[in-house]
Amino acid sequence: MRIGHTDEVRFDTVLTEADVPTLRTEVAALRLPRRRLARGVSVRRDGRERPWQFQAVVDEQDQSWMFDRQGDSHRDRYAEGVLHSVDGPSEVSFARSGTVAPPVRLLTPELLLLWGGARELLTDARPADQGALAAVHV
Amino acid sequence: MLVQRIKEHWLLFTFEHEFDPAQRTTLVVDERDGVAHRSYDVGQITVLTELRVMEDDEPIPSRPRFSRLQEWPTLEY
Repeated sequence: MRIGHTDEVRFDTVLTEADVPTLRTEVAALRLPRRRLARGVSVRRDGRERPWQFQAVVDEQDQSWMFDRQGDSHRDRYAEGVLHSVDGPSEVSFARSGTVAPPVRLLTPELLLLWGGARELLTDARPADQGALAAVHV
Repeated sequence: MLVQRIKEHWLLFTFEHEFDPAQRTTLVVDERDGVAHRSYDVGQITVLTELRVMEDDEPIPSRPRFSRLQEWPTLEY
């Protein structure tokens, strides 16, 4: 485990945006790129809706996923660069494809739009995609 | 951004919101699998209750019939 063991990334210390690339790479490197099944539950903090359950399969090797949400009558899918949602098919990068199904991104936390490097993902730029992919294979 | 380790293998990533540092999001990542098992953001809490690597020849599961949630899942750190 490298997080906390490098000079760049320190525990219990406020880090800056300059630390983000290293940290994202190290998070991705914790994981073997496999096909994973996840189940879970999500709830709004304001209590305005019941908790809803979900099931997701994420395959990092071929960059595909599927997502079932409790209460939905459809299944969201992403494969071969195409997102199939209730709005119909659309071409989008793997990095950006999780927007319609946020829990999918828990399985690749380095792709969450939290890192401040979100802008590069939002522009749907290919280099960002390849960067994320390369990080997975580190 | 802040990284903390608790109970050996859980990594807590806390992010400040870009425009309001008082707004925080925390991810709970298991360093053994690199997956965020929990996410606490300003509007939503999401937790995984089950996670496993699928076999190569294992078919995609069908749409589940979600049963009524009995209680909010607890995580043992």
